[in-house]
Amino acid sequence: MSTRDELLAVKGLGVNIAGATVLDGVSLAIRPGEALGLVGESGCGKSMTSLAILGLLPRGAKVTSGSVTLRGEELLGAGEDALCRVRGGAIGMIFQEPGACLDPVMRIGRQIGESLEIHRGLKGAAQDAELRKLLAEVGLTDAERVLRAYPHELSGGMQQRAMIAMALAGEPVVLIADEPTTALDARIASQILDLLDRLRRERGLALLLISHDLAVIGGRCDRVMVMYAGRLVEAAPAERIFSEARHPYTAALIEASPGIAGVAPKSALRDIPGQLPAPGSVMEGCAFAPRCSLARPACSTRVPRWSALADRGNERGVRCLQYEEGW
Amino acid sequence: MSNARARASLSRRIWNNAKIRYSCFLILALLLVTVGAGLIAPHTYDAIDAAASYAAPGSNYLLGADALGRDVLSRVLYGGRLSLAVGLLATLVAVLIGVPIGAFAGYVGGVADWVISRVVDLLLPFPVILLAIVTKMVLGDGLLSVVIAISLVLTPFFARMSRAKALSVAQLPFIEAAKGSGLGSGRIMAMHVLPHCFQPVLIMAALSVAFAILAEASLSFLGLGLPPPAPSWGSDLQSAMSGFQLAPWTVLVPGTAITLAVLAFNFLGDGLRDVFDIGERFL
Repeated sequence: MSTRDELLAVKGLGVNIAGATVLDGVSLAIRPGEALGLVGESGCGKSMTSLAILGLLPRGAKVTSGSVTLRGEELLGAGEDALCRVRGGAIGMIFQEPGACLDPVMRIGRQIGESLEIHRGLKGAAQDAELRKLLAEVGLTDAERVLRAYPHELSGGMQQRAMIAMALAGEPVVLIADEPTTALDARIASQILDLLDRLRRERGLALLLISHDLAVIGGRCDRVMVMYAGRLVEAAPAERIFSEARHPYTAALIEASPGIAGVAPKSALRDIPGQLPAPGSVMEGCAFAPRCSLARPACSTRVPRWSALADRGNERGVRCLQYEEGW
Repeated sequence: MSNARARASLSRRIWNNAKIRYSCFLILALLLVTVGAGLIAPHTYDAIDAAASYAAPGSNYLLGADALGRDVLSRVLYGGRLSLAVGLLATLVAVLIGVPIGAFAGYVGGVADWVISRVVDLLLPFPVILLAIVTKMVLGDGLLSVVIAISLVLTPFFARMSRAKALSVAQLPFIEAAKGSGLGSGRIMAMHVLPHCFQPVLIMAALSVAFAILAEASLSFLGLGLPPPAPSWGSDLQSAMSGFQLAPWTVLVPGTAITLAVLAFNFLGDGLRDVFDIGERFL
């Protein structure tokens, strides 16, 4: 990929919390109009990555290495004012639980209006017109009622649409959706994913879709990156990752996922034995080694490097000793 | 629409609460008769009539007269102005200072929180009498020094409560989402933290007015309020001390007025606590 057309680029990002490594050498890049999926179990560092991009790491978390650039401009260590313009401005953020992420005592219209005001200076009638446009764009008809409603008066799907409208209010070029459908039922979830898909195409947004669910990611993204214990373990085009998973963890994740589009489960779903390591405990060697069926003694002592794979012109990569010399 | 129903149900719950309803009537009545004292009082509060010293309640002096022959009813009506004004003003000052400071400490945390919390801890043990003596020395006689003394006592409580509330609100996901939308800390505090302090603050404010009315009466009783002949429920009680066996109405009337006012605001606070259903967590 040429760096020229990268909109958002993360390179070698490392984050510590109280001395424990939670992100180690995370690199990703998204181009305009592209959807990148980030998959992994709960606690693997997906959300930490998105928070680090926006400079919203929790107290006690420190960036130890790497860079985050938006259109070539460094975001790590940027001033609070500059970051406030980026958050909700160039980068829109959609969170997991729309019900909890909307202020329960503020009307929807005012919450979205706040973003319009601080990022685009829209007030009064201009703001009202833009609010109606945004609601129509995210499929909320009956703007009159929605604008005056408090969050608890809307259904989960409508709340998430309102959140999306809020994320769009600053006219972002990048949209980060962190588990946008986890709190919704399956039918509403697919509607929300369709909406994100449509917005990406219509607005040319770069979409970073974060989920623990391969089925959510698979059908909607151009490329998929798999994370495990704070490290990226595999990156591949979405259409190839299910048929040709290279990393044992990706393969195990696919076998443990019900209903991935186009992939009928060969047999009963298979669980991955063991658990995600506690943060900071096993950063020597491959973090997946204790759960890996292919593990050899070398796996628990040598940290695997990122190996670029040749795959008919596709950008692929994997972090596994199998693909290194001396295996 | 569920919209209208949800809102209607809160206002109906407030109205259906007997404590709130009756205390509101009582407070309204107290405000009307004291603010309108100039219209309804049969005498002025300082009209002295030596011949009517300790006159019993009757047609000329409805609730009797005191040692100097001043009309007890008129003095109680005018005195209520001071008591209610001090009660409301001291609470208002305490809310305006205490709540933002407390919410700031709770939301920002860290060193600022530590410093503010220690200052609040320092203010808590000061008795209102001591503060009243100090403000009287510094600011002289007047409404202002009484209001400031009482609000100094109240402010730490509002600061503590709103700090606790802000501390818990700051952990909620919508604060994270607001940061993600690019809102600055000041805006988040003003728009998304402070509004959540509203209910506990309202409850505590009602109870604080009751406390402030009682405090003003105590200070006036001790001579730390407005100087005579300014009418005040507390100083009227004090001047009644010498002759209350002879003329019990001089004690009963201002005493009843204090009781009614304190009761009204206490009931209002109690009723609001029932309706808002936030328990004793922050109070």
